[in-house]
Amino acid sequence: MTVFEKNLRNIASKDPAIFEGLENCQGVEIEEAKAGGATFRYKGIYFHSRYNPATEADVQAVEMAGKKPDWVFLFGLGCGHLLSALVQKGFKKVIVFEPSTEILKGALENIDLSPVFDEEKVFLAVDMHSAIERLRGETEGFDNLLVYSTAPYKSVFPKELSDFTNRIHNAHITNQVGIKTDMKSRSAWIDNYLSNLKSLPFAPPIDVLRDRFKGVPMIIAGAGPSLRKNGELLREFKGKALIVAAITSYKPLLKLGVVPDFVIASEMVDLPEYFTFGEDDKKTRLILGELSHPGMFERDVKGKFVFFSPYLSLSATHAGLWGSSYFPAIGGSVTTAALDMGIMFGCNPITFVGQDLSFGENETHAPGGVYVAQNVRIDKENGLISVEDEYINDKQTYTYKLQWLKGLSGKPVPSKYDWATFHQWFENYMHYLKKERPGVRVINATEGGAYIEGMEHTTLRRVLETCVNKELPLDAAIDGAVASRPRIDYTSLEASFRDTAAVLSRVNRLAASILKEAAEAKNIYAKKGLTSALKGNIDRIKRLEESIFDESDRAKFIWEALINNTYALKEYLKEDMDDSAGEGGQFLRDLEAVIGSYKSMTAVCLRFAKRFDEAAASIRAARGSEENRGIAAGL
Amino acid sequence: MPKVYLDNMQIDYEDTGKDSTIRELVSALDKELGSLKRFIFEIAVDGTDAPHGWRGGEVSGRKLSECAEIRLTTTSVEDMAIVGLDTVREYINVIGETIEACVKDLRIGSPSAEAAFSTVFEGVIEVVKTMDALSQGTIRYNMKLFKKKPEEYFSPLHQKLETITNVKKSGDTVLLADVLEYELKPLLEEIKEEVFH
Repeated sequence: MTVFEKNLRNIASKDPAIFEGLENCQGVEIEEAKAGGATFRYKGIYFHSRYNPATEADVQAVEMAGKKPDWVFLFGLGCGHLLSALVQKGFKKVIVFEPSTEILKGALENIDLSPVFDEEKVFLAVDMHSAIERLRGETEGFDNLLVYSTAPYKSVFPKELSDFTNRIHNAHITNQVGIKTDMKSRSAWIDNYLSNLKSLPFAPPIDVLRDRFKGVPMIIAGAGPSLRKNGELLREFKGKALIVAAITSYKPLLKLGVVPDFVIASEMVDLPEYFTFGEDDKKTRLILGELSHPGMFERDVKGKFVFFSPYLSLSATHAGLWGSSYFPAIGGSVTTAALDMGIMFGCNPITFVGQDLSFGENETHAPGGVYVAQNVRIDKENGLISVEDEYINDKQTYTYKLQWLKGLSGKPVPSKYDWATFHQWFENYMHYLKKERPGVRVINATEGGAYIEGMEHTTLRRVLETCVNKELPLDAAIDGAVASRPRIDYTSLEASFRDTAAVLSRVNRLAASILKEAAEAKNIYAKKGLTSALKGNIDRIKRLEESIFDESDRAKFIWEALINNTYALKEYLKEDMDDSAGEGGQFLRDLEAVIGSYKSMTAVCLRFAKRFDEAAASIRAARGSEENRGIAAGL
Repeated sequence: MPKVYLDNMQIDYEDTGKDSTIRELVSALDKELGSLKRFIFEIAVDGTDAPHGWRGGEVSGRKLSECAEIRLTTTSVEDMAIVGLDTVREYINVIGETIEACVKDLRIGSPSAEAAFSTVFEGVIEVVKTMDALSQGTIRYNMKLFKKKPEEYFSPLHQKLETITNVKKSGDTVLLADVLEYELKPLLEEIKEEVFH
């Protein structure tokens, strides 16, 4: 077996796509260093020492070790010396990105890298998308990530390195934002879903519209500052394309004379201020998440549709019972969800307007919405951006960490973390779309802001001239889809709520038993110290925990409801142990952590067991109402 | 007319034009001391020690007639050369340490490499200049200071500096670190071993 084949076998087991494009490429010429090991020259400079590359890599690995990373993102594999040195030093969570196929080919043909790539968490990526995917799949927002590159890579690939670093940074922020969203929102989501049970029978799942708009042009309107530039043209799309507005762009669109066919919103808070409470509301339909605030389901509009998200296992499990089999890919904003829905509807092309994802001259949003006045100040020196705005009648000031995205003109445009996150999602999604649905055109006709790789960039006028030509029976298509809504499985929904309530009661009892054992262990420790007398309590706690894990397999919802505790525990486990406290001190700390966790668990179980019983009753009532309606309708 | 002391012994002298300077006095005495392989090393005028580098400074230009007392201290050329040799040897050690720091900075891509590099480069030039001056002195005063002629190393050092300059211009920091660590540093070590007693 050749070295290349050996490498191929190991690396390809993690990502077969690595070797695409290597066959026809000429690898760099590898030289033997004086003390052994390989080096090479590329673009006129050496990438490793000609004398002792292993020692050189060791110096670099020591430097990196000082930063105590959980994950290393190594820009540049080279001959693999640094990667080997890192693994030797115990850093076995590494994602390596090699920007050059010539270097990769030369290295894989000549150097046996299979031992390092045998490590479970050592990955190789040859395109940035794969590296980001690895980050998403393998790392957490808690992790300390280190992006590192040696001087030759910095010198030869400065743009690629800068892009790589920005993408890693943005993807990591996305992970961190995910944690914050989880911690902030999950409990509210559960409450919202339970409160929305009474509304869901009247809101068909959005996938009733699947393939109902094959080849129909779609416009997705964001509320970026540039939206105003598209006003007149947008009116010409009405009736000839499906117009979907992010909730923030609804009022600005009305001001431009456009009533969108759909307004999409998924906020967990109520947003009455985004509506007119007049005739315009009655001409549009809402697309809401099952986790949206119940108030949103009470708006008086032409129709309401619901989409289920995969974020909450409880509602995700129930989606099928409500008649939905579709979970949109969501990148944090409703326009990202709208894009995925457009694909599901069969729309083509899908055109974005007002999707700036960056700050305008002196504004954050298009005029006409809830942001009355804005003042944006960019502090490049300190990397900050401060925004003063008047939200309805309240003056607010925010300061954000400044982030930069590649602009439509090629120059960077100022952005902030959430927009950068959406931007990254769009680019990843486009990468996926190009592979899986190459026939779908996605156009960014936003008149300013960020460039979105993978989308076509053109003007809205060009879209109008080339893609839109006739009036379409959009309302009839929507009404037809609503009429074909699948039946709701009330019986299974009710049973699911009753079962979960029963599991919660059992878990509550087990958690209470753990608290009793822990309190007893604490007493024994106080009297006798760290002795074998504690063994009985510890063993019983372990057994009770196993029972809880078994039970909760049937109600994964528990872990979602306890997400804040899970994150707190993870943080706790990541903390450096205080050696001065000794074994006993550590035991006590661990015990306190156990007590804290299970106290929260009992509170969650008690709270939701009651609510789930109510939910089961609410479903039963809804079934009764539907049966009565059916009888009244003579069905 | 000031009193003039040479190594604490008062000496007689003549200032016929009444406008001689300290520089002229020192020059005349150096000539006489040359045969003894000594020269004037330090000077104190009216109780104040002249600073280092006094020969080129203000003190040398002062008129004798303006001074009350001049104290001159001599040293032997050999003593002076040994001090010079020790300084060069010590300086080579310092350059060696700076090379290590510079190489580490280059390997990890630290911006401090630039400052360390300048110290190394200028240091090597200073070492060559000092060794050259010492070597000239050994010929003039017929002394045996070195085990091996330092001139033999001037050309290799010069070549190495040229290589380093070219590599630096090319932006190849890996090669630059290699040349410093595996070529220049061993050459300086060799000079220390082979040239000095």
